[in-house]
Amino acid sequence: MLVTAATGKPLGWAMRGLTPAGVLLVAVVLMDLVTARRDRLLLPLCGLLCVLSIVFLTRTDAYLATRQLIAIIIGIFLMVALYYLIEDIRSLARFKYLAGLSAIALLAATMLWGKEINGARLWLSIPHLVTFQSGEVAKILMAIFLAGYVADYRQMLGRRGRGRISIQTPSLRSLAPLLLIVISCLAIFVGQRDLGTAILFFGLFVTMFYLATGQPAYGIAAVALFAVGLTLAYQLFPQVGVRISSWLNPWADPTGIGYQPLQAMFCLGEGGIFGAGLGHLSVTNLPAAPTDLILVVIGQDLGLVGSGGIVIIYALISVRSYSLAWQATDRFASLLAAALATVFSLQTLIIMGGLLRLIPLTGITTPFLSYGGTSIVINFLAVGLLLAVSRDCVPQPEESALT
Amino acid sequence: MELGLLLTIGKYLFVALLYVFIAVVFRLLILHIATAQQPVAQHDGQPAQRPVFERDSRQSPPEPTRPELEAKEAGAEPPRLARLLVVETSATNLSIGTSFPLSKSISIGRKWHNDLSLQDRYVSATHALIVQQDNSFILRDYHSTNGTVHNGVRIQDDVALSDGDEITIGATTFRYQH
Repeated sequence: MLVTAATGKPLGWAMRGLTPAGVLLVAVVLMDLVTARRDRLLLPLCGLLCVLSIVFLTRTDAYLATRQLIAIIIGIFLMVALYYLIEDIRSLARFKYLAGLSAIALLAATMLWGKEINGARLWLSIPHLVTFQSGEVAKILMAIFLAGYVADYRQMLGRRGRGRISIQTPSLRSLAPLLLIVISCLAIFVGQRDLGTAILFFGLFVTMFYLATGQPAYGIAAVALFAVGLTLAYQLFPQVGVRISSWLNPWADPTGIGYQPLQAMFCLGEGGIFGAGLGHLSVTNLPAAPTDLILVVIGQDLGLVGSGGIVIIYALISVRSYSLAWQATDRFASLLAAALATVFSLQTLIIMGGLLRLIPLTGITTPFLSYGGTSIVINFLAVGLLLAVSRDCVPQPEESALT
Repeated sequence: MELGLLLTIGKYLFVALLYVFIAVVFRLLILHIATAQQPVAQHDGQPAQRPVFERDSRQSPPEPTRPELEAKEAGAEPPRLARLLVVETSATNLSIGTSFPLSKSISIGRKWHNDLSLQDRYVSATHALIVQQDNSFILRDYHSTNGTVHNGVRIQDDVALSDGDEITIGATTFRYQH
């Protein structure tokens, strides 16, 4: 491995690693053609993650890296297209029901006619055209739906009751569309045993309810519901039990269900504080290294210091997205930015917590880093929406040091 | 051996570069925050160059530029004068409910040389003008970055003000009373 890294095709590899940065530069120039008034930090941060993604995929599996590179280029150009297509982010609120229903339709279609890869039926295939992971697409559609719905019906959801944390039950008629979409969405994920995504969506729903109403009662109800749901899932689905026991006691079956979490921990341990060096150790024993466990590969090669840097970058992206939500002058735009920020940070937290054995390990993509065409494209589209929010609804300071 | 040394140096360089990037991002964020606070910092050094509104000169308040003080004194003005009433604000130097009598053309903006200064970073240096014409007043946007809003509409040209009109500048909304 060491020899290949040094004598292989270092120039070609370096070129490949720098391509996303170059494409992003072109994208920024294209976006600046009309106005430079938008957030200036999100894109560089995401671009860095993309470059790292190419570097570490090349190191794990060069073929996947090439495919990822194509996905990144497509993603960046779709982002620019979306940025120009949306003339005003507020007009997106009109499509909320369309977005919600198409999310459900996509998920239902996947459940019925989906394509199975690695034993999980999460992909939808349009013959001769494209195969994509419908859960990823649903994330962005659901963010638009929730932001639009909650912005409209905020009053109805949040009428204050008599007590400090009690709320008057909102009328069933105003809640019906929301509950229908939310529940069918969660049911499909649970039915597909895609528990990581189910948790992600549940977190998103609860956050949106809370953000729109400011009622702690929703948060408390959510924790209770989550506990009930988890107990039910534990009783009903054997997979949940497997996940939980492999989390609590991976040593019970180190070559079976405990294999993945244990390998992840060994690899992180071998990285130590400063890391073993890029490509120095093999990762062939690490299951799902390019997808779910890409952070473990980084942790092994760059150590605690390097992966700490990655965590800081994720934190910066989250903070930046939430601050856009905070500054936006339009309610829908603000909620949309908050929804996208929540999806992004929750997803990162679920996968990081899983790798560190703080919570059960679930298969969920690491934004911008792990291999997966749909995930990359969708993440770039989400950034495109955030940039459109910052362009249309965030007042820009007079003396900007960031231009 | 030499290759090994090179690779070790490369390994640390890689991580170092990552942190250089993070440092640059942090520097930009800090700059961003620093520029956001600039207008407030300027306040201390510069006393008002001219009285903002007509008022009794028997009293000299310690901070002559605080519009609240003027507004309180202005409360004694005869009611037939046109006024601007603050109905909503998050500017640091205004409070809701204060009102400003209008007896001449005034300028509104973030800088302290304006007749009416709003400490709000989304207000331009000189943001808008209210121009007196005979007995009525006209609202004019002064090439502001974030626009002047009259009754919910961002104005392009001059707008004649009538009683009850709402003017939004940055995070502040005034009601025009005549």
